[in-house]
Amino acid sequence: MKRTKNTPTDIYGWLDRVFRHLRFGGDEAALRQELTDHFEDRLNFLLEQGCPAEEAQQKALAAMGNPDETGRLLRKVCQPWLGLLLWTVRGVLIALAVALICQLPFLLPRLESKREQSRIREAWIQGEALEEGLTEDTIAAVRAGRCSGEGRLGSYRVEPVAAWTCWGRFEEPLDRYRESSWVVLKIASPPWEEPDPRLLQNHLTLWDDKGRRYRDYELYCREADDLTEDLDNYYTLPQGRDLTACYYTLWLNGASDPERLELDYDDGANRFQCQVVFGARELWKRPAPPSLGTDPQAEEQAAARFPRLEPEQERLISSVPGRAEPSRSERMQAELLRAAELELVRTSDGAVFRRLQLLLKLSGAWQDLPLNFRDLRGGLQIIDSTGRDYALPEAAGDRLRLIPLEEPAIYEDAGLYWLELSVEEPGDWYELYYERAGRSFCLRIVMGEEEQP
Amino acid sequence: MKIDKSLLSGSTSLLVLSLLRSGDKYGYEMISLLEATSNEVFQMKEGTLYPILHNLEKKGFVRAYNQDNGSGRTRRYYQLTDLGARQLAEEKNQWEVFSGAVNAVLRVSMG
Repeated sequence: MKRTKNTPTDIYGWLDRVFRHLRFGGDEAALRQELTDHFEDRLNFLLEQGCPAEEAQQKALAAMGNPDETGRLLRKVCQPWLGLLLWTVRGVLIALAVALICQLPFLLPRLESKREQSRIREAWIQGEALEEGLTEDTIAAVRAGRCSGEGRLGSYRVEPVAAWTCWGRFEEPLDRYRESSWVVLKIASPPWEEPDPRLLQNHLTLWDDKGRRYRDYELYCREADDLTEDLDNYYTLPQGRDLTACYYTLWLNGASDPERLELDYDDGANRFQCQVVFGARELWKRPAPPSLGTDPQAEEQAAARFPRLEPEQERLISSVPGRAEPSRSERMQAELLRAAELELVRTSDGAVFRRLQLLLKLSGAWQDLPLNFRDLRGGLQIIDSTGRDYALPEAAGDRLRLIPLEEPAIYEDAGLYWLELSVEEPGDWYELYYERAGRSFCLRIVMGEEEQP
Repeated sequence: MKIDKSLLSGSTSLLVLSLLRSGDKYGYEMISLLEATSNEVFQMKEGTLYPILHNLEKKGFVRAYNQDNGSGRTRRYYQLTDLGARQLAEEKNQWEVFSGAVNAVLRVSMG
Protein backbone atom coordinates (compact mmCIF):
# COMPACT_ATOMS: atom_id res chain seq x y z
CA MET A 1 0.00 0.00 0.00
CA LYS A 2 1.52 3.25 -1.16
CA ARG A 3 2.06 5.57 1.76
CA THR A 4 0.27 8.88 1.42
CA LYS A 5 -0.48 11.73 3.74
CA ASN A 6 -3.67 9.96 4.88
CA THR A 7 -2.21 6.46 5.16
CA PRO A 8 -2.91 4.94 8.56
CA THR A 9 0.22 4.49 10.62
CA ASP A 10 -1.10 1.84 12.96
CA ILE A 11 -3.69 -0.89 12.99
CA TYR A 12 -6.18 1.21 14.90
CA GLY A 13 -6.06 3.95 12.33
CA TRP A 14 -6.34 1.31 9.66
CA LEU A 15 -9.44 -0.15 11.34
CA ASP A 16 -11.02 3.28 11.76
CA ARG A 17 -10.66 3.83 8.03
CA VAL A 18 -12.32 0.50 7.34
CA PHE A 19 -15.29 1.11 9.60
CA ARG A 20 -15.78 4.60 8.30
CA HIS A 21 -17.49 2.85 5.42
CA LEU A 22 -19.86 0.96 7.67
CA ARG A 23 -22.81 2.20 9.69
CA PHE A 24 -24.41 -0.30 12.00
CA GLY A 25 -22.78 -2.95 9.91
CA GLY A 26 -23.37 -6.05 11.97
CA ASP A 27 -21.22 -6.80 14.95
CA GLU A 28 -18.47 -4.19 14.62
CA ALA A 29 -16.65 -5.12 17.80
CA ALA A 30 -16.23 -8.76 16.76
CA LEU A 31 -15.06 -7.80 13.30
CA ARG A 32 -12.54 -5.32 14.67
CA GLN A 33 -11.19 -8.00 16.97
CA GLU A 34 -10.89 -10.47 14.12
CA LEU A 35 -8.92 -8.04 11.95
CA THR A 36 -6.76 -7.00 14.89
CA ASP A 37 -5.97 -10.65 15.62
CA HIS A 38 -4.98 -11.17 12.02
CA PHE A 39 -2.64 -8.19 12.15
CA GLU A 40 -1.06 -9.46 15.35
CA ASP A 41 -0.51 -12.89 13.82
CA ARG A 42 1.25 -11.33 10.85
CA LEU A 43 3.28 -9.06 13.11
CA ASN A 44 4.34 -11.92 15.36
CA PHE A 45 5.38 -13.96 12.32
CA LEU A 46 7.58 -11.12 11.08
CA LEU A 47 9.09 -10.59 14.51
CA GLU A 48 9.83 -14.30 14.76
CA GLN A 49 11.58 -14.00 11.38
CA GLY A 50 13.92 -11.43 12.98
CA CYS A 51 12.31 -8.38 11.45
CA PRO A 52 12.88 -5.21 13.51
CA ALA A 53 9.81 -4.12 15.41
CA GLU A 54 9.11 -0.90 13.52
CA GLU A 55 9.68 -2.53 10.13
CA ALA A 56 7.51 -5.47 11.16
CA GLN A 57 4.71 -3.03 12.08
CA GLN A 58 4.92 -1.37 8.68
CA LYS A 59 5.07 -4.65 6.76
CA ALA A 60 2.20 -6.16 8.71
CA LEU A 61 0.14 -3.05 8.16
CA ALA A 62 0.95 -3.00 4.47
CA ALA A 63 -0.04 -6.66 4.21
CA MET A 64 -3.54 -5.76 5.47
CA GLY A 65 -4.11 -3.91 2.22
CA ASN A 66 -6.16 -0.82 1.41
CA PRO A 67 -8.57 -0.07 4.32
CA ASP A 68 -10.97 1.77 2.06
CA GLU A 69 -11.21 -1.21 -0.30
CA THR A 70 -11.75 -3.54 2.64
CA GLY A 71 -14.40 -1.20 4.07
CA ARG A 72 -16.27 -0.99 0.76
CA LEU A 73 -16.23 -4.76 0.37
CA LEU A 74 -17.46 -5.25 3.91
CA ARG A 75 -20.25 -2.72 3.38
CA LYS A 76 -21.48 -4.74 0.42
CA VAL A 77 -21.65 -7.82 2.59
CA CYS A 78 -23.10 -6.25 5.73
CA GLN A 79 -26.51 -4.54 5.30
CA PRO A 80 -26.53 -1.42 7.39
CA TRP A 81 -30.26 -1.02 7.37
CA LEU A 82 -30.74 -4.49 8.78
CA GLY A 83 -28.14 -3.83 11.40
CA LEU A 84 -29.91 -0.65 12.46
CA LEU A 85 -33.22 -2.44 12.57
CA LEU A 86 -31.86 -5.28 14.62
CA TRP A 87 -30.12 -2.86 16.95
CA THR A 88 -33.30 -0.87 17.47
CA VAL A 89 -35.52 -3.90 18.01
CA ARG A 90 -33.02 -5.42 20.39
CA GLY A 91 -32.90 -2.21 22.41
CA VAL A 92 -36.68 -1.94 22.64
CA LEU A 93 -37.08 -5.57 23.67
CA ILE A 94 -34.44 -5.22 26.36
CA ALA A 95 -36.08 -2.09 27.73
CA LEU A 96 -39.50 -3.77 27.80
CA ALA A 97 -38.11 -6.84 29.50
CA VAL A 98 -36.41 -4.77 32.19
CA ALA A 99 -39.56 -2.73 32.81
CA LEU A 100 -41.68 -5.88 33.08
CA ILE A 101 -39.26 -7.56 35.46
CA CYS A 102 -39.26 -4.50 37.70
CA GLN A 103 -43.06 -4.46 37.79
CA LEU A 104 -43.54 -8.18 38.41
CA PRO A 105 -43.36 -8.01 42.21
CA PHE A 106 -46.21 -5.51 42.15
CA LEU A 107 -48.19 -6.91 39.24
CA LEU A 108 -48.51 -10.49 40.38
CA PRO A 109 -50.18 -9.97 43.78
CA ARG A 110 -52.39 -7.25 42.38
CA LEU A 111 -53.63 -9.17 39.39
CA GLU A 112 -55.86 -11.26 41.59
CA SER A 113 -57.46 -8.38 43.41
CA LYS A 114 -57.43 -5.98 40.50
CA ARG A 115 -60.75 -7.17 39.22
CA GLU A 116 -62.43 -6.69 42.57
CA GLN A 117 -60.83 -3.33 43.12
CA SER A 118 -61.83 -2.18 39.68
CA ARG A 119 -65.38 -3.29 40.33
CA ILE A 120 -65.55 -1.30 43.54
CA ARG A 121 -64.05 1.74 41.93
CA GLU A 122 -66.29 1.59 38.89
CA ALA A 123 -69.33 0.98 41.08
CA TRP A 124 -68.78 4.28 42.84
CA ILE A 125 -67.83 6.19 39.74
CA GLN A 126 -70.87 4.89 37.89
CA GLY A 127 -73.14 5.41 40.89
CA GLU A 128 -74.03 1.74 41.20
CA ALA A 129 -72.82 1.66 44.76
CA LEU A 130 -75.82 3.81 45.68
CA GLU A 131 -78.14 0.82 45.43
CA GLU A 132 -76.44 -0.82 48.37
CA GLY A 133 -78.43 1.45 50.69
CA LEU A 134 -81.57 2.21 48.74
CA THR A 135 -84.59 -0.02 49.19
CA GLU A 136 -86.19 -1.64 46.20
CA ASP A 137 -89.47 0.26 46.38
CA THR A 138 -88.00 3.64 47.06
CA ILE A 139 -88.56 6.60 44.86
CA ALA A 140 -85.16 8.14 44.77
CA ALA A 141 -83.41 10.59 42.57
CA VAL A 142 -79.76 11.06 41.88
CA ARG A 143 -77.82 13.87 40.35
CA ALA A 144 -74.41 13.23 38.88
CA GLY A 145 -71.71 15.79 39.47
CA ARG A 146 -69.30 17.22 36.96
CA CYS A 147 -65.86 17.50 38.56
CA SER A 148 -63.04 19.91 37.86
CA GLY A 149 -59.79 21.03 39.39
CA GLU A 150 -56.82 19.16 40.75
CA GLY A 151 -53.95 19.63 43.13
CA ARG A 152 -50.65 18.17 44.19
CA LEU A 153 -49.55 16.77 47.53
CA GLY A 154 -45.87 16.10 47.20
CA SER A 155 -45.57 13.37 44.60
CA TYR A 156 -49.33 12.71 44.59
CA ARG A 157 -51.84 14.26 42.23
CA VAL A 158 -55.35 14.65 43.63
CA GLU A 159 -58.52 15.21 41.62
CA PRO A 160 -62.24 14.49 42.00
CA VAL A 161 -63.42 12.01 39.39
CA ALA A 162 -67.06 11.35 40.29
CA ALA A 163 -69.78 12.83 42.47
CA TRP A 164 -73.38 11.92 43.27
CA THR A 165 -76.11 13.45 45.34
CA CYS A 166 -79.07 11.32 46.18
CA TRP A 167 -82.44 11.26 47.96
CA GLY A 168 -83.80 7.93 48.90
CA ARG A 169 -85.27 5.66 51.51
CA PHE A 170 -82.45 3.86 53.25
CA GLU A 171 -82.99 0.85 55.47
CA GLU A 172 -79.87 1.34 57.49
CA PRO A 173 -79.24 2.68 60.04
CA LEU A 174 -82.86 3.85 60.32
CA ASP A 175 -85.71 3.19 57.96
CA ARG A 176 -86.20 6.69 56.69
CA TYR A 177 -85.51 8.96 53.86
CA ARG A 178 -82.15 10.50 53.73
CA GLU A 179 -80.18 12.55 51.39
CA SER A 180 -76.48 12.20 50.96
CA SER A 181 -73.74 13.25 48.66
CA TRP A 182 -70.58 11.50 47.67
CA VAL A 183 -67.39 12.62 46.01
CA VAL A 184 -64.83 10.13 44.73
CA LEU A 185 -61.28 11.39 44.88
CA LYS A 186 -58.52 9.92 42.80
CA ILE A 187 -54.99 10.12 44.13
CA ALA A 188 -52.41 9.18 41.52
CA SER A 189 -49.66 7.23 43.16
CA PRO A 190 -47.21 4.48 42.20
CA PRO A 191 -48.53 0.95 42.71
CA TRP A 192 -46.25 0.37 45.69
CA GLU A 193 -47.63 3.33 47.62
CA GLU A 194 -50.97 3.61 49.41
CA PRO A 195 -51.55 7.24 50.43
CA ASP A 196 -52.79 7.62 53.99
CA PRO A 197 -56.46 8.72 53.96
CA ARG A 198 -55.71 10.89 56.98
CA LEU A 199 -53.59 12.92 54.63
CA LEU A 200 -56.82 14.43 53.37
CA GLN A 201 -59.07 14.27 56.40
CA ASN A 202 -57.25 16.71 58.60
CA HIS A 203 -56.85 19.43 56.02
CA LEU A 204 -59.77 19.05 53.60
CA THR A 205 -62.92 21.15 53.93
CA LEU A 206 -65.95 21.05 51.67
CA TRP A 207 -68.47 23.82 51.18
CA ASP A 208 -71.78 23.67 49.37
CA ASP A 209 -73.60 26.51 47.65
CA LYS A 210 -75.75 27.08 50.72
CA GLY A 211 -72.76 27.83 52.87
CA ARG A 212 -72.72 24.52 54.74
CA ARG A 213 -69.31 23.30 55.74
CA TYR A 214 -68.25 19.66 55.81
CA ARG A 215 -65.28 18.53 57.80
CA ASP A 216 -63.75 15.40 59.12
CA TYR A 217 -66.10 13.79 61.62
CA GLU A 218 -63.47 13.26 64.27
CA LEU A 219 -62.26 16.80 63.90
CA TYR A 220 -65.84 18.01 64.18
CA CYS A 221 -66.37 16.09 67.42
CA ARG A 222 -63.26 17.58 68.92
CA GLU A 223 -64.18 21.14 68.04
CA ALA A 224 -67.96 21.25 68.23
CA ASP A 225 -69.48 22.75 71.34
CA ASP A 226 -72.77 21.07 70.90
CA LEU A 227 -72.84 17.65 69.36
CA THR A 228 -76.60 17.80 69.02
CA GLU A 229 -76.17 19.99 65.98
CA ASP A 230 -76.65 18.45 62.60
CA LEU A 231 -73.57 16.43 61.90
CA ASP A 232 -72.04 17.71 58.73
CA ASN A 233 -69.12 15.50 58.18
CA TYR A 234 -67.21 13.49 55.73
CA TYR A 235 -64.92 10.56 55.97
CA THR A 236 -62.60 8.89 53.55
CA LEU A 237 -62.42 5.23 52.81
CA PRO A 238 -60.09 3.70 50.26
CA GLN A 239 -62.48 2.13 47.81
CA GLY A 240 -59.87 0.45 45.74
CA ARG A 241 -56.89 1.10 43.61
CA ASP A 242 -55.38 0.12 40.35
CA LEU A 243 -51.84 0.32 39.14
CA THR A 244 -51.82 4.07 38.89
CA ALA A 245 -54.08 5.45 41.61
CA CYS A 246 -56.03 5.05 44.84
CA TYR A 247 -59.68 6.04 45.08
CA TYR A 248 -61.26 7.53 48.19
CA THR A 249 -64.90 8.32 48.79
CA LEU A 250 -66.03 11.33 50.77
CA TRP A 251 -69.51 10.97 52.23
CA LEU A 252 -71.33 14.17 53.02
CA ASN A 253 -74.09 13.60 55.51
CA GLY A 254 -76.92 16.07 55.47
CA ALA A 255 -75.97 17.67 52.18
CA SER A 256 -79.27 19.29 51.27
CA ASP A 257 -79.64 19.12 47.51
CA PRO A 258 -76.42 20.98 46.75
CA GLU A 259 -76.00 22.58 43.40
CA ARG A 260 -72.25 22.71 43.72
CA LEU A 261 -69.44 21.79 46.06
CA GLU A 262 -66.09 23.43 46.69
CA LEU A 263 -63.24 21.29 47.98
CA ASP A 264 -60.55 23.26 49.74
CA TYR A 265 -57.30 21.65 50.85
CA ASP A 266 -54.74 23.56 52.89
CA ASP A 267 -52.05 22.02 55.07
CA GLY A 268 -49.86 25.10 55.18
CA ALA A 269 -47.47 23.80 52.57
CA ASN A 270 -49.91 22.66 49.88
CA ARG A 271 -53.07 24.41 48.77
CA PHE A 272 -55.52 23.53 46.04
CA GLN A 273 -59.21 23.72 45.22
CA CYS A 274 -61.57 21.52 43.26
CA GLN A 275 -65.18 21.93 42.23
CA VAL A 276 -68.24 19.78 41.64
CA VAL A 277 -71.33 20.98 39.82
CA PHE A 278 -74.39 18.71 40.00
CA GLY A 279 -76.49 18.11 36.92
CA ALA A 280 -80.05 17.16 36.21
CA ARG A 281 -82.03 14.71 38.28
CA GLU A 282 -82.66 11.17 37.26
CA LEU A 283 -85.01 8.72 38.91
CA TRP A 284 -83.10 5.88 40.42
CA LYS A 285 -83.83 2.57 38.72
CA ARG A 286 -87.21 3.79 37.49
CA PRO A 287 -88.46 5.05 34.19
CA ALA A 288 -89.79 8.56 33.92
CA PRO A 289 -93.22 8.75 35.61
CA PRO A 290 -96.43 9.01 33.54
CA SER A 291 -98.41 12.19 33.18
CA LEU A 292 -101.13 12.94 35.73
CA GLY A 293 -103.48 13.20 32.78
CA THR A 294 -103.14 9.46 32.22
CA ASP A 295 -104.72 8.92 35.63
CA PRO A 296 -107.71 11.30 35.62
CA GLN A 297 -109.21 9.92 38.81
CA ALA A 298 -106.03 10.29 40.82
CA GLU A 299 -107.01 13.60 42.39
CA GLU A 300 -110.53 12.46 43.15
CA GLN A 301 -109.34 9.27 44.76
CA ALA A 302 -106.76 11.17 46.82
CA ALA A 303 -109.36 13.66 48.00
CA ALA A 304 -111.74 10.83 48.85
CA ARG A 305 -109.22 9.43 51.33
CA PHE A 306 -109.10 12.77 53.13
CA PRO A 307 -109.07 13.24 56.07
CA ARG A 308 -107.05 10.31 57.36
CA LEU A 309 -107.77 8.66 60.68
CA GLU A 310 -106.31 5.58 62.26
CA PRO A 311 -109.06 3.02 62.09
CA GLU A 312 -110.67 2.01 65.41
CA GLN A 313 -108.11 4.08 67.30
CA GLU A 314 -109.18 7.64 66.68
CA ARG A 315 -112.53 9.41 66.66
CA LEU A 316 -113.13 12.74 65.06
CA ILE A 317 -114.51 15.42 67.37
CA SER A 318 -114.51 18.40 65.02
CA SER A 319 -113.07 19.52 61.72
CA VAL A 320 -112.18 23.02 60.50
CA PRO A 321 -111.62 23.21 56.74
CA GLY A 322 -108.99 25.42 55.19
CA ARG A 323 -108.55 27.02 51.79
CA ALA A 324 -105.69 28.69 50.00
CA GLU A 325 -105.19 30.58 46.79
CA PRO A 326 -102.83 28.72 44.41
CA SER A 327 -99.22 29.80 44.37
CA ARG A 328 -97.37 30.19 41.10
CA SER A 329 -93.66 30.56 40.58
CA GLU A 330 -91.40 30.14 37.60
CA ARG A 331 -90.93 26.40 37.96
CA MET A 332 -93.72 25.25 40.22
CA GLN A 333 -97.41 25.75 40.92
CA ALA A 334 -98.88 24.75 44.26
CA GLU A 335 -102.53 24.03 44.95
CA LEU A 336 -104.17 23.11 48.19
CA LEU A 337 -106.59 20.32 47.34
CA ARG A 338 -107.72 19.70 50.91
CA ALA A 339 -106.88 21.15 54.32
CA ALA A 340 -108.52 20.44 57.66
CA GLU A 341 -107.68 21.09 61.28
CA LEU A 342 -108.92 17.99 63.09
CA GLU A 343 -109.71 17.53 66.74
CA LEU A 344 -109.38 13.85 67.57
CA VAL A 345 -109.75 11.64 70.58
CA ARG A 346 -107.72 8.51 71.06
CA THR A 347 -110.15 5.82 71.98
CA SER A 348 -107.72 3.80 74.02
CA ASP A 349 -107.07 6.44 76.68
CA GLY A 350 -109.31 9.37 75.78
CA ALA A 351 -106.37 11.68 74.94
CA VAL A 352 -107.28 14.56 72.65
CA PHE A 353 -105.08 15.59 69.74
CA ARG A 354 -105.25 18.32 67.20
CA ARG A 355 -103.76 17.91 63.78
CA LEU A 356 -103.61 19.85 60.54
CA GLN A 357 -103.87 17.54 57.54
CA LEU A 358 -103.00 18.78 54.09
CA LEU A 359 -103.33 17.39 50.57
CA LEU A 360 -101.12 19.37 48.22
CA LYS A 361 -100.77 19.24 44.49
CA LEU A 362 -97.54 20.59 43.06
CA SER A 363 -97.36 21.00 39.29
CA GLY A 364 -94.22 21.25 37.22
CA ALA A 365 -91.63 19.06 35.55
CA TRP A 366 -90.98 16.05 37.77
CA GLN A 367 -87.31 16.98 37.97
CA ASP A 368 -88.35 20.12 39.82
CA LEU A 369 -90.74 18.43 42.23
CA PRO A 370 -89.91 17.09 45.67
CA LEU A 371 -89.69 13.37 45.02
CA ASN A 372 -90.26 12.28 48.59
CA PHE A 373 -91.23 13.63 51.94
CA ARG A 374 -87.69 14.33 52.99
CA ASP A 375 -87.15 16.24 49.84
CA LEU A 376 -90.23 18.34 50.57
CA ARG A 377 -89.55 18.84 54.23
CA GLY A 378 -85.96 19.92 53.58
CA GLY A 379 -87.22 23.12 51.99
CA LEU A 380 -90.46 23.67 53.90
CA GLN A 381 -91.21 26.26 56.58
CA ILE A 382 -94.53 26.46 58.41
CA ILE A 383 -95.80 29.22 60.68
CA ASP A 384 -99.26 29.83 62.10
CA SER A 385 -101.30 32.71 63.44
CA THR A 386 -100.35 31.87 67.06
CA GLY A 387 -96.75 32.78 66.31
CA ARG A 388 -95.39 29.28 66.29
CA ASP A 389 -92.61 28.53 63.83
CA TYR A 390 -92.67 24.82 63.10
CA ALA A 391 -89.16 24.88 61.72
CA LEU A 392 -87.60 25.76 65.06
CA PRO A 393 -85.99 22.94 67.07
CA GLU A 394 -88.38 23.44 69.98
CA ALA A 395 -91.25 22.69 67.64
CA ALA A 396 -89.97 19.17 67.24
CA GLY A 397 -91.12 16.42 69.50
CA ASP A 398 -94.02 14.02 69.89
CA ARG A 399 -96.77 16.62 69.80
CA LEU A 400 -95.38 19.02 67.25
CA ARG A 401 -94.25 17.31 64.12
CA LEU A 402 -94.70 17.10 60.38
CA ILE A 403 -95.09 13.63 58.96
CA PRO A 404 -96.11 12.13 55.65
CA LEU A 405 -99.41 10.26 55.65
CA GLU A 406 -98.49 8.48 52.44
CA GLU A 407 -95.63 8.43 50.04
CA PRO A 408 -95.97 11.18 47.45
CA ALA A 409 -97.55 10.18 44.16
CA ILE A 410 -95.16 11.48 41.54
CA TYR A 411 -96.22 12.01 37.96
CA GLU A 412 -94.38 13.42 35.04
CA ASP A 413 -95.99 16.79 35.50
CA ALA A 414 -97.29 16.84 39.07
CA GLY A 415 -97.05 15.38 42.54
CA LEU A 416 -99.65 14.73 45.27
CA TYR A 417 -98.49 15.09 48.87
CA TRP A 418 -100.31 14.10 52.08
CA LEU A 419 -98.99 15.79 55.17
CA GLU A 420 -99.96 15.95 58.80
CA LEU A 421 -98.84 18.59 61.25
CA SER A 422 -99.41 18.23 64.96
CA VAL A 423 -100.68 21.44 66.58
CA GLU A 424 -101.41 22.49 70.18
CA GLU A 425 -103.68 25.46 69.64
CA PRO A 426 -105.95 26.03 66.67
CA GLY A 427 -104.83 28.75 64.34
CA ASP A 428 -106.73 31.16 62.13
CA TRP A 429 -104.26 30.59 59.35
CA TYR A 430 -101.20 28.61 58.49
CA GLU A 431 -98.55 29.64 56.04
CA LEU A 432 -96.45 27.10 54.10
CA TYR A 433 -93.37 28.41 52.43
CA TYR A 434 -91.17 26.14 50.32
CA GLU A 435 -87.91 27.06 48.66
CA ARG A 436 -85.26 24.77 47.34
CA ALA A 437 -82.79 25.14 44.49
CA GLY A 438 -84.77 27.81 42.70
CA ARG A 439 -88.16 26.12 43.19
CA SER A 440 -90.61 27.76 45.56
CA PHE A 441 -94.21 28.18 46.55
CA CYS A 442 -96.11 29.95 49.31
CA LEU A 443 -99.57 28.91 50.46
CA ARG A 444 -101.50 30.86 53.04
CA ILE A 445 -104.17 28.52 54.35
CA VAL A 446 -107.07 30.37 55.89
CA MET A 447 -109.21 28.29 58.24
CA GLY A 448 -112.98 28.36 57.95
CA GLU A 449 -115.87 27.50 60.19
CA GLU A 450 -115.90 24.44 62.36
CA GLU A 451 -117.81 21.53 61.01
CA GLN A 452 -119.28 18.74 63.02
CA PRO A 453 -118.66 15.26 61.66
CA MET B 1 5.77 -13.62 -10.90
CA LYS B 2 3.07 -11.04 -10.57
CA ILE B 3 -0.36 -12.35 -11.41
CA ASP B 4 -3.10 -10.14 -12.84
CA LYS B 5 -5.64 -9.41 -10.12
CA SER B 6 -8.51 -10.07 -12.49
CA LEU B 7 -7.45 -13.70 -12.78
CA LEU B 8 -7.45 -14.05 -9.03
CA SER B 9 -10.69 -12.28 -8.17
CA GLY B 10 -12.96 -14.80 -9.85
CA SER B 11 -11.52 -17.76 -8.00
CA THR B 12 -11.07 -16.48 -4.43
CA SER B 13 -14.18 -18.16 -3.05
CA LEU B 14 -13.07 -21.43 -4.68
CA LEU B 15 -9.68 -21.08 -3.04
CA VAL B 16 -11.12 -20.26 0.41
CA LEU B 17 -13.64 -23.10 0.32
CA SER B 18 -10.96 -25.54 -0.78
CA LEU B 19 -8.69 -24.42 2.07
CA LEU B 20 -11.45 -25.21 4.54
CA ARG B 21 -12.09 -28.64 3.06
CA SER B 22 -9.05 -29.99 4.84
CA GLY B 23 -10.16 -28.62 8.22
CA ASP B 24 -11.38 -25.58 10.15
CA LYS B 25 -9.07 -22.58 9.95
CA TYR B 26 -8.87 -18.98 11.01
CA GLY B 27 -8.09 -16.06 8.72
CA TYR B 28 -4.34 -15.71 9.07
CA GLU B 29 -3.98 -19.45 8.89
CA MET B 30 -5.73 -19.46 5.52
CA ILE B 31 -3.57 -16.61 4.19
CA SER B 32 -0.39 -18.37 5.27
CA LEU B 33 -1.48 -21.68 3.76
CA LEU B 34 -2.55 -20.00 0.55
CA GLU B 35 0.85 -18.34 0.14
CA ALA B 36 2.71 -21.52 0.99
CA THR B 37 0.76 -23.90 -1.24
CA SER B 38 0.68 -21.47 -4.18
CA ASN B 39 4.39 -20.81 -3.91
CA GLU B 40 3.45 -17.21 -3.07
CA VAL B 41 1.62 -16.76 -6.34
CA PHE B 42 -1.49 -16.03 -4.40
CA GLN B 43 -0.70 -13.10 -2.18
CA MET B 44 -4.13 -11.79 -1.33
CA LYS B 45 -4.29 -8.51 0.52
CA GLU B 46 -5.14 -9.87 3.90
CA GLY B 47 -7.80 -7.38 4.82
CA THR B 48 -9.86 -8.34 1.77
CA LEU B 49 -10.05 -11.97 2.91
CA TYR B 50 -12.57 -11.09 5.56
CA PRO B 51 -15.24 -9.65 3.30
CA ILE B 52 -14.96 -12.90 1.37
CA LEU B 53 -15.28 -14.99 4.52
CA HIS B 54 -18.26 -13.02 5.80
CA ASN B 55 -19.95 -13.28 2.44
CA LEU B 56 -19.48 -17.05 2.45
CA GLU B 57 -20.84 -17.15 5.99
CA LYS B 58 -23.84 -15.08 4.98
CA LYS B 59 -24.59 -17.54 2.17
CA GLY B 60 -24.30 -20.47 4.53
CA PHE B 61 -21.27 -22.01 2.92
CA VAL B 62 -19.17 -21.62 6.08
CA ARG B 63 -19.88 -21.41 9.78
CA ALA B 64 -17.83 -19.32 12.22
CA TYR B 65 -16.96 -19.93 15.87
CA ASN B 66 -14.37 -18.77 18.41
CA GLN B 67 -11.69 -21.11 19.70
CA ASP B 68 -8.24 -21.09 21.20
CA ASN B 69 -5.62 -21.48 18.48
CA GLY B 70 -3.33 -23.59 20.61
CA SER B 71 -1.09 -20.76 21.73
CA GLY B 72 -3.42 -19.19 24.22
CA ARG B 73 -5.06 -16.81 21.78
CA THR B 74 -8.70 -16.93 20.77
CA ARG B 75 -9.31 -16.81 17.07
CA ARG B 76 -12.36 -16.91 14.89
CA TYR B 77 -12.42 -20.22 13.06
CA TYR B 78 -14.35 -21.01 9.92
CA GLN B 79 -15.83 -24.39 9.07
CA LEU B 80 -17.07 -25.69 5.76
CA THR B 81 -20.75 -26.57 5.87
CA ASP B 82 -22.50 -29.24 3.85
CA LEU B 83 -23.87 -26.54 1.62
CA GLY B 84 -20.37 -25.13 1.29
CA ALA B 85 -19.05 -28.54 0.33
CA ARG B 86 -21.61 -28.81 -2.45
CA GLN B 87 -20.75 -25.28 -3.59
CA LEU B 88 -17.03 -26.17 -3.58
CA ALA B 89 -17.71 -29.19 -5.76
CA GLU B 90 -19.73 -27.10 -8.17
CA GLU B 91 -17.13 -24.33 -8.42
CA LYS B 92 -14.30 -26.89 -8.78
CA ASN B 93 -16.19 -28.50 -11.62
CA GLN B 94 -16.72 -25.12 -13.28
CA TRP B 95 -13.04 -24.30 -12.85
CA GLU B 96 -12.00 -27.60 -14.39
CA VAL B 97 -14.28 -27.06 -17.35
CA PHE B 98 -13.10 -23.46 -17.76
CA SER B 99 -9.40 -24.19 -17.33
CA GLY B 100 -9.65 -27.24 -19.54
CA ALA B 101 -11.22 -25.17 -22.29
CA VAL B 102 -8.55 -22.45 -21.96
CA ASN B 103 -5.78 -25.04 -22.10
CA ALA B 104 -7.34 -26.67 -25.13
CA VAL B 105 -7.50 -23.37 -27.01
CA LEU B 106 -3.91 -22.53 -26.04
CA ARG B 107 -2.66 -25.93 -27.28
CA VAL B 108 -4.29 -25.44 -30.58
CA SER B 109 -3.33 -21.78 -31.08
CA MET B 110 0.19 -22.06 -29.70
CA GLY B 111 0.88 -25.29 -31.40
